[in-house]
Amino acid sequence: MRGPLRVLAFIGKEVRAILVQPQLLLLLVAGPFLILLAFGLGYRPAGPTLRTIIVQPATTDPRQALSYYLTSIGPPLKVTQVTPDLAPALRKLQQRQVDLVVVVPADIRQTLLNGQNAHLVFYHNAIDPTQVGYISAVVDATTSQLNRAILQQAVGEQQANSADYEQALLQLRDSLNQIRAALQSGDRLRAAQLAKGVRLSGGLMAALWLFAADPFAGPTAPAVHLADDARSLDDALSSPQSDPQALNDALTKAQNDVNSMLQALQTSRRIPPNVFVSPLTWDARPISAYQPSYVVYHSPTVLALLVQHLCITLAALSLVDERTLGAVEIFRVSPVGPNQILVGKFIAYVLVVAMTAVGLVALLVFALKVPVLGEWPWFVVVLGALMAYSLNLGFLISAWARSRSQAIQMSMLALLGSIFFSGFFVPLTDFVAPVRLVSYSLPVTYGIELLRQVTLRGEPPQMVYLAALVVWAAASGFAAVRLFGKLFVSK
Amino acid sequence: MPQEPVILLDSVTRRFGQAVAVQDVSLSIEAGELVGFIGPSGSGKTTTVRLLCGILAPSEGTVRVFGKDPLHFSGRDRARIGYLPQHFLLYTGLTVAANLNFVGGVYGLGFRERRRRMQQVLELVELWGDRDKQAGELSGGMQRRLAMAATFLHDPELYFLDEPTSGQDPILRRKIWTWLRDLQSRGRTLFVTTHYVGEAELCNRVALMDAGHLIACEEPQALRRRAFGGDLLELVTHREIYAYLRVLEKMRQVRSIEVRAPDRLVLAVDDAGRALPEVLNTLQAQSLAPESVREMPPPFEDVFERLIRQHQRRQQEEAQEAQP
Repeated sequence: MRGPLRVLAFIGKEVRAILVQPQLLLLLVAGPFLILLAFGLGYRPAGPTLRTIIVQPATTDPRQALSYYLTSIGPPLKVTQVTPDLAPALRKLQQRQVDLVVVVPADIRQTLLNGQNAHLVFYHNAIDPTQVGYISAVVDATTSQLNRAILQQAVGEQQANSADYEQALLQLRDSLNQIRAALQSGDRLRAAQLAKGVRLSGGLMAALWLFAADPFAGPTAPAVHLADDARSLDDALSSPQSDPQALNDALTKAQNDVNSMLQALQTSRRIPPNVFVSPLTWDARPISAYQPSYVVYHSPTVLALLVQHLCITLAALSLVDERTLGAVEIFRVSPVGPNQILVGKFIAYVLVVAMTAVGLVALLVFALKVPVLGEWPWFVVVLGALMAYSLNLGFLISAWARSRSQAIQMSMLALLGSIFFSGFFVPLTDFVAPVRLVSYSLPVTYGIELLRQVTLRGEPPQMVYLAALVVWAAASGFAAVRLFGKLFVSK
Repeated sequence: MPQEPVILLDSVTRRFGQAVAVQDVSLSIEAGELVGFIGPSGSGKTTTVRLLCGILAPSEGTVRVFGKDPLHFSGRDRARIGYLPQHFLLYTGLTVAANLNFVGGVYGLGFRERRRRMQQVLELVELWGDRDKQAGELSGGMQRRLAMAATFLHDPELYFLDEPTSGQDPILRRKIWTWLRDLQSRGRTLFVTTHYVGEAELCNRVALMDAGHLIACEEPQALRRRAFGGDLLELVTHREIYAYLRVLEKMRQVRSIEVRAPDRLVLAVDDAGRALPEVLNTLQAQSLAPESVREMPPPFEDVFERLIRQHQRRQQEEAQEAQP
């Protein structure tokens, strides 16, 4: 009966010690609450706008200018100036008045006609690798957009020009009809004369077909056959011994080719230029029932991090404080044992952190609209396991540290480690295996994954992760008891 | 069957690296004794207390408290002990009552008993009216009283009080000793360290430590005799003292004579009660009439200084004899 009384003594003492410090209480409860609220209201993951200057030759025709396209692309590019002078633009970039300077080459059209790529240069002044990566992605996307815009314009112009081609095809169809009429009237000589013209036009039309009409038709397109069929018709009419049936077949084939080409041409003119330029579109369809926003997705992460930090900080300082105060000496002479001290403190901190966690979860659910799609008991189990491991890790730090400042430093290292290695900023898969061991020694790594599963996926927690968290909690608790117990061994 | 002593130290030595904090100390304390452990700073008093509490293990020798090795005390054994460390170790952020409530819990007192004892000890140390104050807001003297209340709370059988009066004003020191005498009168055993040698008089027995050695452990009066070779008589005269010296030197009861001033002699005698009338009669027979002759209890500062000096001299002699 006295054992529980001793544990209760520590629970009461620790809770009182926190309750009598209104500022500490405020920090413990309101601090994490405000951090989470600020995160929820303030996190906007869209990349920043890039203030951009376009440098292009002064002689550029405004209607042909690339700056027109660049300006029309919109965010994240915000064109602030179009100038022919590179030096002042780079000076502004140096002074961080702008984020990007795009240099457009002198004569793009001529460069393309010469069979070369026209090269754009994007100057930036970023050194942060993340920002450099962002700018590279924006530059890549912008260039693709420009290429598409240029192609789209070209296709549109070509479609407009294809009316002449259609006219030529109609004339070819007339010529074939006249050949058939001449043959039916027995005027083979006129038919042969007309066939020479058809042979010439057919070859030309076939050659131009690729530039004029259907780019998706492939090698079996009617244009390929038209050249052959026009030649066969001409050859058949030039030969006096030609079979009338073969002659008729060749004429019919050529007529069919022209009709098919006319039909294909009309079809292709109905296809909008953007379909030609971007024939494939995409649509990613998640199979999970719920798609969280950025804020909602990261909210369980922030919750796990706050809970871990609170637990580690509270526990890490507690034993160090007892030791530096000299209370451990009193405890050694008293009937209380290290286990009872740790159990008492553990329960006290669980109560305090649980109180804070209730506030945080209420904020998540009611203010930030984070759903808990899974079962609440699992949520409580995961949070409890996270608290247990974090507290025991804090006790381990506290039992090991020789001074308050050491304990604080180690708590901060645990926090920094959690930010970098828990998958919060960088995916765990980006780390090499030995470094991933660090990740999997941190409570928050498991907390993040398990809380996401329960809240956002609506699944029970992955048992391997939950078991790992429990095993870590037990192991660190055991180590903390052993280490703290050494202080009770007389030397 | 003789009762086992509550505290027994047998040839105990404790070293910290090369330094010897306690050397070859043997001591036995019976139940109900109030033993003062006196010595200058760094003499080994606190180390001895920590050995007795089981905080430190002896390098050599045997320590027994309640007949057991303190290193292997059970929780029940520890609950029989009250320990007051030298410095204030309670929680300044908690109130007086919360501190005692915590200590009561640590010693497994039930809630009702805790409340009853809390009131008793706080009234004893005159802090009942301050029970809702934070310990950090108390003065140094009040904090010391609070620490003592925490030590008294579970009513242990044996107290180890390390410098309970250190840094306190004379009035509080006197009060503390009243409380300690009161505890002793109720059968408790107290082991009290102090560097206020005047407090030795208030103990049953006084153990004197110097440089890790236990020089003596006796009743205060016996220590005086040991220091000066007997009781002391102070003789004041208005004539020149040589006539007195000639007469007194011949007296069998007078063991030594010290000239303290041109008109003042201090005589060491076996028993002041018997020697005083004999001295007066002998002087009168020689027509010598001193201004006054009275028993002079020497201050303990002098007793300890003399004992320490004697001990150091003896050590030097032993060291010289040990040299080839």
